[in-house]
Amino acid sequence: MFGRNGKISKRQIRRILILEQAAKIGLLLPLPAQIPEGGFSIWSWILTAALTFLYLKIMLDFSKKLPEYPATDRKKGMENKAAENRKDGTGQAEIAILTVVYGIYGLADVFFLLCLFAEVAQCFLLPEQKIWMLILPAAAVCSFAADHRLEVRAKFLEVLCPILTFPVMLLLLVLAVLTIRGGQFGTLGEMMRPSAPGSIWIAGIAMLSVFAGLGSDVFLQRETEEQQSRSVFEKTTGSMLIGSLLLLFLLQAVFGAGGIRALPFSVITAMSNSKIKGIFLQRWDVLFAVFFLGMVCGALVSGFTVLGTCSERLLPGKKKKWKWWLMAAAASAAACVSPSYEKSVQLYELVSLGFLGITMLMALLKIIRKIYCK
Amino acid sequence: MRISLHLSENQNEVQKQIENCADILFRPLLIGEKEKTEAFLIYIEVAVSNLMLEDSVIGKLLNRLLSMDTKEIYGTLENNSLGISDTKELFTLEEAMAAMFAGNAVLFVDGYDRAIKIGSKGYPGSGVQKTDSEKGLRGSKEAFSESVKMNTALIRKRIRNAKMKAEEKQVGRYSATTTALLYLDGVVYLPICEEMRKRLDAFEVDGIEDGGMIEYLTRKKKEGRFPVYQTTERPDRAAQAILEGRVVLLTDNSPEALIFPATLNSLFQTADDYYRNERIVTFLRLIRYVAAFLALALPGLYVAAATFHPQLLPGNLIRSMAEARSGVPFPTAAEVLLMELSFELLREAGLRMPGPAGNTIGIVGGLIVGQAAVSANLVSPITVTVAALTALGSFSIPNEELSEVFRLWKYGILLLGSCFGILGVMLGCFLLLMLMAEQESYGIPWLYPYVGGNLNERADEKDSMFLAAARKRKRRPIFAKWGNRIRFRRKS
Repeated sequence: MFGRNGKISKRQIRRILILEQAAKIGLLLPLPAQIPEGGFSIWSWILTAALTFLYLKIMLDFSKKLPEYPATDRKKGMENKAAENRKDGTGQAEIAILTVVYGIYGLADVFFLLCLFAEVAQCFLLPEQKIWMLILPAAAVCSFAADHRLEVRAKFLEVLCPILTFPVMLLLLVLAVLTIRGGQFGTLGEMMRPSAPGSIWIAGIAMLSVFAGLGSDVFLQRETEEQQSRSVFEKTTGSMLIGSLLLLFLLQAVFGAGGIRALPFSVITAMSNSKIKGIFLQRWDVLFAVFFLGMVCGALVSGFTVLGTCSERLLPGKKKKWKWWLMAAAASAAACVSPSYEKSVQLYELVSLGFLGITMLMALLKIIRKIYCK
Repeated sequence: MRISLHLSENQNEVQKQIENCADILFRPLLIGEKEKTEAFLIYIEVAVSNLMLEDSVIGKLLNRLLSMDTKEIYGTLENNSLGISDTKELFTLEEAMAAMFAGNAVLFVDGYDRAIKIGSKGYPGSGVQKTDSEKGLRGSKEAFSESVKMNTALIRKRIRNAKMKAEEKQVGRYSATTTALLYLDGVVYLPICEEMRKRLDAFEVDGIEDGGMIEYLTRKKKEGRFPVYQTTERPDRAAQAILEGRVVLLTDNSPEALIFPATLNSLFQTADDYYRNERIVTFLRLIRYVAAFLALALPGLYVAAATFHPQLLPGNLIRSMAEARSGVPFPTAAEVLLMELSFELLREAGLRMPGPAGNTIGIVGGLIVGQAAVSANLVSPITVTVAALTALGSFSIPNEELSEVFRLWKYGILLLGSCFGILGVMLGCFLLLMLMAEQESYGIPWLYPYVGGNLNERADEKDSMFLAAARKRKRRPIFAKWGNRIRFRRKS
């Protein structure tokens, strides 16, 4: 009767995007500071923001031309003018390539997120627990959540988002108020200082990998109730970028560039500094880690969904379920036997930059062909 | 089988059917002038007492019939010219038997191919009760009785408008239990009623003894995880639900009404929420949500903090916890589990014992056994505190079915918390939230308005965790028919 129309609302899209990106921004964005040639600067952030918006715009335009949905599960009979779009020139070969690319990205994304989950959990919560013991419950819960129709997932993430993000924002605010002293703002000047173009590019492109997931999310645009969801993507991405800049400022003010380089997951570590008199809890970083892990789980649900949808199309056979679970199991097993967390980050950055490059190249080719045909 | 013109045929058939039914009385009569016309009356002995027959409308009817000519009798019965309010002509023997089993007297007259149902006081019932399980500070203290007719009347008393419909239906192969579907025509979203009719028609069962049976028989496959019906014993709550555009199902012999669709939000609301100041109600609702969280996760969080993350807690507390636990032979998880299971035992014992003894069990269990267990070093005092807080949280949830769901999940989260610490508690809550997101009640998302709140122009958010002032709640909730959702407007 209600809620089974195969569509989700703009608010749901906004919250899915926030959950997916927030964990990666918080945990992955400080990484470029650890690259010897990199380091934070406002210039590399501007470069990242510009490239992210360009990528988003190209993907939003490109997604309209596709006859099928590489990353979503719209119900039968609700396809988006498939025949009409085929006339437009988008062929099956492009779809196949894109599905393979999405599949590989989905695999790398899930693999990385599971490794990230285990690493953060081991670092801040359960240092003595084995990696696979941490990965398996998370993989089981998140893949179970992902194995539901789009609307159910959207409802789940819609509720989860405020439960996780509001406390995170509140705690960050508390940290900012209680930890940073006036003198520490002087270190922010370091971020404004012009650096070598090479290092700006290296840091900018490294940070771009955080936003690679937007490419798979734009396909959600067609599932919204209103067609004007394009602005939701742009506004949410803009907010996330501004949020990431504020976070980088906060970390810089708390630790300075050297501190960020030396500390693992500096966003969470920063919380261990905050002490609120009269408050029962003593270690805010533990609580903060739990909230961040919750957000990682939110991103994992989306990652498993992309992986499952692509696997349904790539692997032969009629039964969809086993393909879905096979790929989920493969990604989880890979994460369990992963040699180190650093390797998984390197692999993720490599694959996501490749994914960015290939999708943008395909979109550009499409645009060139359209111009040529005219 | 049609009723015959010949009384003897009807009599044979009826007597065959009621053979060995000592509670059903068969009373042959001779009516009309000079007592020429044969007739008989059948009725359940207790439902239509002999006294009633002699000193009631039925009795007076029979007395009048005694003095009439035979032809005049037929005309009188056909046209109900005596003006008896509750009579009905029945054409088949099945209808006649059903009317008798419903607690009426049924009159058969020779030469008349119809039977006459004569309404009577019906089966004995407990009458209008005082609320027991849904007590409130303000508002009516009336509670439903066990008669569907009386319960319908209690709601009708509050909605005196013909737009409130009450559709009756018999359910149960042998019990033929009467159910009544109550809704406000023009306000209700009709597919919800249609869905219920379909669900009631979709099964056949020997008997229905309570509304709870209908609740579980009409559930769909994935609806068993959380309550999709809201149960209430208060007629004012049922009337409120009907005015919101929801549907109420009453079942004979059941002192509770089933309200549907039900959402998590509606299960946290109580009837007297709407009779009190919105600020205090908002505060109380927040308390209820916190209580639900405590009932669900407190034991798991305690075990997680004590076993895996003691650094979370202040040093003084950790020390006192360690001192209190010294000498306790069990690990923290086992200790909490033991305490929780003991509490379940106490609750069950208290519930099964007769009234005053049940209360005694609660006091004896809570104070004496708890104190003895602490003194014997079986459990630490802090574990008793955790179990008590969990129980208080569980009791603060207004809906018993929801409270039971959280009670069961508590053990799962306790297990996860004892294996993976606070991470396990988080994953358990994730799983629970996912299942909640999947749940629907008659097409309405169970987590509404926390999901899809924009579907009704955010009106339902004004009556969720926070309650807006009555004059600001202008729209009916999403349950009501689209286009007829304005319930409050100021007169110019």
